[in-house]
Amino acid sequence: MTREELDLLYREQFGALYRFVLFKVRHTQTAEDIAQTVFVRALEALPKYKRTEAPPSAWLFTIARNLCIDHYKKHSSITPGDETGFFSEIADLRADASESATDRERKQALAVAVSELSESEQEFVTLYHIEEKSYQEVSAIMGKSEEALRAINHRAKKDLKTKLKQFYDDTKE
Amino acid sequence: MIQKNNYNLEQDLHALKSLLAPRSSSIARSEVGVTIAPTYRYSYVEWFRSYSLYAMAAVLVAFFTFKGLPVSQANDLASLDILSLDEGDRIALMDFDEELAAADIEMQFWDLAEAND
Repeated sequence: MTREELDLLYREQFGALYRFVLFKVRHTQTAEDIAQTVFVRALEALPKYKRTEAPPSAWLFTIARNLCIDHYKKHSSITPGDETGFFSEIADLRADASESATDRERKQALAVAVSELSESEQEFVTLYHIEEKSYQEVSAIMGKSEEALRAINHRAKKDLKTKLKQFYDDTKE
Repeated sequence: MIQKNNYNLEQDLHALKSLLAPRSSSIARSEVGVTIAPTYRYSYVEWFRSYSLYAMAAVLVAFFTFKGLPVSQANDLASLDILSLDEGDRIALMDFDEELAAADIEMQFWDLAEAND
């Protein structure tokens, strides 16, 4: 991979890397910093990079995951903050004028629920449902078989529906 | 009556993509100068915490190093004599003495000049 190819790939994946990290660290500024550091690390490791069957984006997501682990090792005193407040703040920033308050509230609640999923469920939901990556790509990024991913998908959707019963489940009137 | 909500979980999940987009300034920064390492934001508490650990480690190392020295070596260090040094160190020390003497003469000169004024 050349430096130009890496640059292009990184620009394509920047948003996805940011969201991937954001659900893990739950802090916008830290997520942006880590998403940017991914490029620096990738650039440093570029001479050693070898093409495999896995898509090159999988390499960037692996770097992002390792950076998140390093982040928590360095800042071991960090405890998850008030995610509801955090995602409300984000939703306000990106508020769409055409969107109703109920829609916004539902999406905020969904974002919070995704951040509370287990690590593998959260990664799967971010990559497959939010970023719309293929099973093959998600499999390469997460290092899990497609069968395992289908099981994770089932569990994640069930967990989300349980947490957000008022929005996505049958309701009695 | 049981009523099914119209909300679609998968559609809503995909909608989070636009809701959780990085800030425009962050994208610009990455497009303009992706090679520039980001500036980390450390709090003063973190700085203090990390540097106080280094300082404590340095004090402990110094303490155990000097504590571990035999008394004779400690005395040698205390009464460091020019004669006990090798030639190179001796020259360095002599040069220093000469410089000190020259500085002393210069000070005396300026004192005299000031007195004459």
